[in-house]
Amino acid sequence: MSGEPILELRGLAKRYGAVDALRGVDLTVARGETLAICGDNGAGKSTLIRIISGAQPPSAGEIRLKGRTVHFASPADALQQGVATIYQDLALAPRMAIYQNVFMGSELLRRSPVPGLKLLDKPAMRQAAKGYLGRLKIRLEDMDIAVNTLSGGQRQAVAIARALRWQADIVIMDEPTAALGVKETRQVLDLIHEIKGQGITVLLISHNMRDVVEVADRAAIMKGGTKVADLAVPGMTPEGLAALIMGDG
Amino acid sequence: MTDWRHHARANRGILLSLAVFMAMFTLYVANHSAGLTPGVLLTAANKGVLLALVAMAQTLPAITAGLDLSVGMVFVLANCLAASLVQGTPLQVTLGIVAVLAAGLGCGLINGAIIVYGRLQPIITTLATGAVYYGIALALRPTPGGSISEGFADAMTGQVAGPVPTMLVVLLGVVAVVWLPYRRSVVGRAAYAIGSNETAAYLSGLDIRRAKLTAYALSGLLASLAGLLLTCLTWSGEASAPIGGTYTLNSIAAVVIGGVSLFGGVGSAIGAVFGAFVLRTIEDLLFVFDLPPLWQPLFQGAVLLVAVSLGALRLLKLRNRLDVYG
Repeated sequence: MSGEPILELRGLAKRYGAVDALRGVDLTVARGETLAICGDNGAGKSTLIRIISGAQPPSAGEIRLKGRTVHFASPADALQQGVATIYQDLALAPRMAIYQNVFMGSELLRRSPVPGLKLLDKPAMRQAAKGYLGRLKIRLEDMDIAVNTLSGGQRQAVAIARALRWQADIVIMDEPTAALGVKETRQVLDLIHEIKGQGITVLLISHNMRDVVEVADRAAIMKGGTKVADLAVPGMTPEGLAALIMGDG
Repeated sequence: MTDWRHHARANRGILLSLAVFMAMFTLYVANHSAGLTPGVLLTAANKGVLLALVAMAQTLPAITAGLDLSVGMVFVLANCLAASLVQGTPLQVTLGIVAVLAAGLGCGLINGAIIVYGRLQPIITTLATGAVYYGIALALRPTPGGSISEGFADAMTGQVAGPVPTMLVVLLGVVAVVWLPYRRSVVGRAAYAIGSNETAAYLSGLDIRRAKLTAYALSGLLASLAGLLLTCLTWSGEASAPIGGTYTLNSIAAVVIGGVSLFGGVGSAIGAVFGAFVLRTIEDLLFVFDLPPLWQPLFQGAVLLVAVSLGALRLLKLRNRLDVYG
């Protein structure tokens, strides 16, 4: 690993009643790195991600972000501290416009003639949303069209544009290509390359080893609630990674 | 894409209901023996504005994908309160008006608080609270009666600046002071986001509780304003269950005709206003064509069906039909 650590997890554990979903995971992510978190169903990936994204508190352990210990009260709290999670379609409002989605929860306001009353600044939001999408090399002219008329790849771009809007240091992508066709998967992988290029740290959860080999610098392999391997991806083959996940580890 | 096309598409519901209303109203005026006189306009406005306000009251919860079945009962309760409180000296009248509106706001806040903090379904919550509000109205006024300040009632049901009905001015004022700022505020945007995808709104850190409380509270306020104006027309209060029920159901019909989606996240209170005018004009058309008023429900039902069917046309344009559920 190279570079300063941006995110450090120490002894992270989660217990649901009698079930140990996570049994003390240590993980360090360097700034600007793309880390894939791999593992079979039930390995603890989703629990780990829910904790890092602020959706659930850990039962034990510590999260350090940029050298400071943090406690996320909610996903919105994590977002404010620079950790943006892109859920498969969950985090977009389908019947609302692109710019409304990009700025959801962080709307730009302008003064109104009435003192103390601030109103939405729609032109500024349209303009800025176009800028964020431009940074992702996505050409969409009309910021007023509803998100449910976009392709799967374009929707991911809108979600990532929102992470850019929040100036997120870390973007967590949960199975970003799971429901997509070949062409759209290509588009999402290009998006990941694009935000990597802008120095943003990416945590990628994926079942698709080909995607992992293409974009990730490193892979953490989870099994039974623990991390069983942590290795550099360059030089690995999809088959080799899959074997590690399936093997007795 | 040019600006006017944005506006045309975003306001399709408003434009459509406006067009239907204009067509119907023109037909009505053309066949009215007196034509378009200030008197005809005044009568139409006085009847239309009441339902328009209740429809606006219904719009706010509908945008959050909720439904407020208590709007008609808040309307009736405000009518009964106004027939007792809005009389006497100008100061007493003013205080009475404030009390009536505060009662409506309070009813709406109670609805919102139960829905937000009790995590109950809006439709069931407001069905229950609506019955309670009606019970209070009945206790206040077991038999029809009471009175309202004549000066105030005349002013509200009369005209200003020559032929302009005061009620229309009040309605415009409500749109300008309540609806337009609400729609352009963060709390209003949050209401649309909740209706479009509540999970997304939560994950984005929007204040969902505040948005829902505001929507239901404003809904109660608007319904009580309508009840106050009803008192100005009838000069008395009546705890009438049929009136409450009819206004509730017509408000739902009006918002649908006005292009507000009951799935939430789409629509405008201005569309709902024209939806209400459409429903009201049906009655007038029956009158000028000398048809029995008993046909009114039939025509209202037909208009509602057409409106819902037009809304369903978007199914034909979707790339993925599952998006309907998104």
